[in-house]
Amino acid sequence: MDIDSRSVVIEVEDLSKNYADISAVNSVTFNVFAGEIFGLLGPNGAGKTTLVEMLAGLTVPSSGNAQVLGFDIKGDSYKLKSQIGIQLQSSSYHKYLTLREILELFASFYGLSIDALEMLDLVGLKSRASSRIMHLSGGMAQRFNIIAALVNNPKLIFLDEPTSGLDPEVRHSIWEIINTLKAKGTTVVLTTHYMEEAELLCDRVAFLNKGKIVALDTPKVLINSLDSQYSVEIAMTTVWDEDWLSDFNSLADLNVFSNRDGYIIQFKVNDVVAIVQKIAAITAMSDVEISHISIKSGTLNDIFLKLTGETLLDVIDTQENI
Amino acid sequence: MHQLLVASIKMVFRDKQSLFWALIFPIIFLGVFRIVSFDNYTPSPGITFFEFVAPGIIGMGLLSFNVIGLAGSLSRYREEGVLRRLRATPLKPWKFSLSVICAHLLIAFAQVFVLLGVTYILGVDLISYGLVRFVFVAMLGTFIFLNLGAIVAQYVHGRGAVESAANAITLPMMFLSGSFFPTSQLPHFVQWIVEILPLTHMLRALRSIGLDQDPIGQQIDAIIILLIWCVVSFIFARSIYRLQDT
Repeated sequence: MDIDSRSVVIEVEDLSKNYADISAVNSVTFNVFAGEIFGLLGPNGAGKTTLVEMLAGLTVPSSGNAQVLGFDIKGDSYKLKSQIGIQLQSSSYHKYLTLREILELFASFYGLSIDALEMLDLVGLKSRASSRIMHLSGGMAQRFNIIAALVNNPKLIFLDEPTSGLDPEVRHSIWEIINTLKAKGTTVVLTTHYMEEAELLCDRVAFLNKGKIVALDTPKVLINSLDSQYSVEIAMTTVWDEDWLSDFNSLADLNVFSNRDGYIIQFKVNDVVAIVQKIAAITAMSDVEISHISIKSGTLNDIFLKLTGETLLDVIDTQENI
Repeated sequence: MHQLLVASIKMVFRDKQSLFWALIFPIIFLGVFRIVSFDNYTPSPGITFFEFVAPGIIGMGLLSFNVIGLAGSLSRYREEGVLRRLRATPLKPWKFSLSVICAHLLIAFAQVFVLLGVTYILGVDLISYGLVRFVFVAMLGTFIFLNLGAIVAQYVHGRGAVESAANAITLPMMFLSGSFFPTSQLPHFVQWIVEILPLTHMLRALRSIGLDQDPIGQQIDAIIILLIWCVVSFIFARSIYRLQDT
């Protein structure tokens, strides 16, 4: 089904949030469609969490409008909260209650009675039903956060960086949970700064930078919009001569890097087959030994680089070093 | 609402720090004051020092449990993001507040009976006369102390700072309000402070009921002052009960 033909579950128009003289979210406009996984990408401080908290009725916007599941986020926040699920990035649960007790308690907030053990079983935590949240590992706690957001069987769930700081194995288990939600028809709004996570899970993504949406589309369309969709890298141990390098220079934009094993030449291209054939032809006529060749497609990180002039990973590294 | 109340009670019971302030701390004091002999000291005619101090220790227990316990719990909820998570649900803030207050009142109710029982075993009978009035006054005081705990949690940030602030309120109040000796022995210039403090009026009423076995007319003034304290402290505490986490 064409995604635009589905019903709109989130309709955001010129939404802004200012804190003193800081604009956390700056006049963003977008729609989210029923049943899709919608990614909000950007570095820390880009405004993702503020935007999610406004849409979930937790933070009052400074200006603009948004309807979520037909409810106005300013006026109907209690009705809205009864219909959605949310996993918050920085929140916790009562440390003196067991997982089972917390789920039953949270279900009671929605006027529901649930089988807590069955829910815990969905995320592999049935055996920890009598444990307290402080005794769980990071991955377990995050799985519990997600299942606690599902006690009211919501049609729409907000997941705010659900895999942040988790090891790859746990991240994969959370991706499975998210895919299961999608298969059930639940609309998911996911914030992340992991590009491969967004590419793998999201139907559409919006890039947020300094509170503004700088791009919004499917990952495929965004990557196709890159000037060069592929990166072809050849690694060699021997030193090239300038004539040999000039042959490559005529083929495509290239960067040359050195490392302790030798040299890497990186080409940014759209036609992979053509460049590989030309590399083979040139190297056949020279003494250069190619030790390794790799082909990588463009990533959402390249999109971020194209839009902002810096890679998302650079931004995150800088922030972490502050 | 019922489940929230049950959960709130469980949380208080499972919190060892709360239980310490609720029971262990006042029982230790009762034991110490019973063992230490103050035979030559009679705070008022016909009343031994231990008889005088027993209602004071019950009041002290209620004060510490509710001010330090609630301020600590709310501060922890705020710092750990529990309030933030609750705000993401359709739970109405007044329901949360009511359940927290009711849980503390119920536990304080049980606390009063346990401490009255310990006091009785140690030789002071505060049960035989005016028990209902005694418990009613104790619950009025408890409600005020809960509001004071909420106010501390609201205006002081950081768990250590909250505990310090709660102690800074409870410790002077214990001594100035006559928990351990008659307020008449305090210097004249602090008497006006003594007369403002809610614990003073609560202990005055408790001793009037439990020790002097006075009719209710003798406690009306203290009860009116406690009721005024209930209203004023609740007004100041209201905003923390709205689940604000910032």
